[in-house]
Amino acid sequence: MSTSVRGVAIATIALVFAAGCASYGSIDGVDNLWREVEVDHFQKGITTQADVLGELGPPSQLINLQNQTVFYYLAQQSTGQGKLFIIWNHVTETKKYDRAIFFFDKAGVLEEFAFSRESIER
Amino acid sequence: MRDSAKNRYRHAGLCVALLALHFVSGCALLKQELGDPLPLDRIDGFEAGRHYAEVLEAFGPPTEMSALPNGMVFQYQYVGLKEHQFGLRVPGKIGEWFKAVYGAAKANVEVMQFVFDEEGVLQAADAKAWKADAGAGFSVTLVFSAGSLTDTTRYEESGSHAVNWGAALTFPLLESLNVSQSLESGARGVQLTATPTIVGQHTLELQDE
Repeated sequence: MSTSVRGVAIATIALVFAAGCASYGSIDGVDNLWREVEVDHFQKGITTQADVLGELGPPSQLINLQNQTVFYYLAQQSTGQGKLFIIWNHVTETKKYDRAIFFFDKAGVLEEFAFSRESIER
Repeated sequence: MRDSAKNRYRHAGLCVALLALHFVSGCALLKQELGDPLPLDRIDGFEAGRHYAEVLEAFGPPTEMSALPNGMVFQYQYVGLKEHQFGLRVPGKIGEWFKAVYGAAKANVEVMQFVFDEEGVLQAADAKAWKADAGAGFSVTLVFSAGSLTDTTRYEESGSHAVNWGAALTFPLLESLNVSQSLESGARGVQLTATPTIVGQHTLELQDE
């Protein structure tokens, strides 16, 4: 193979594999403070609405059921990565959700609560 | 003789590949994962009579929930979006600077729904997964682009409906008048991702279309 042909071949391969990369990320919603507290910190029949508000702040949504009040907390993390080649581009975006929910009785005492299995690292 | 035929095929293949490379100016795959896929098979263990605390323990907080006249509903949702784009070189002088791109998106949707009575006892539950055509688009772009050509907003918002209720104050007039029927407020029910506005609760909004 002559030097000029080899040069053209190398330049072509370099052009095909030359890539641009991009990445981005953001977090929306409330601060997922529930991941910082101990599991037994919230106790059914003892913890009150005031305790949860004091610990976690205002919920994303407050739902009024017939005999209960629900505090719903949601945090959303978006991350994206892009690999930009000359003839092939690949962009991936992932959204992760971290949720906590608390059910209180008419007296404002905790009846049930749960955290999502999916979580966002703090 | 056989070698020369083989060479001819090889050259023809090379020509086709070069020709294809000349006209194909770039392809892209755009993927979006909105949350984790749902454990749909686990819903079989949940029959009427179970308490909502058991559902919470098994699946965690729902994507959406709402009060109902005689109880409440939990709705869990997962959406995966995949958009394929194919670029073609525009012929002529203009082709040096622009390329034509066609994009088509598919949505993979998974839903679980649990309906409880006012005592928090499960009345009904079901799970479903389906694939939907999430749209297609065409554009002519400068050199190359890796942006989306399809409008998949309705799917992308599926995980954050729960925090949208405050935005009702800024809706256009006809939507604001209809807000008491809103299925995003957590007080009137829930709605599946990408449901068309032809359903009853959006009656006033239809007047705007």
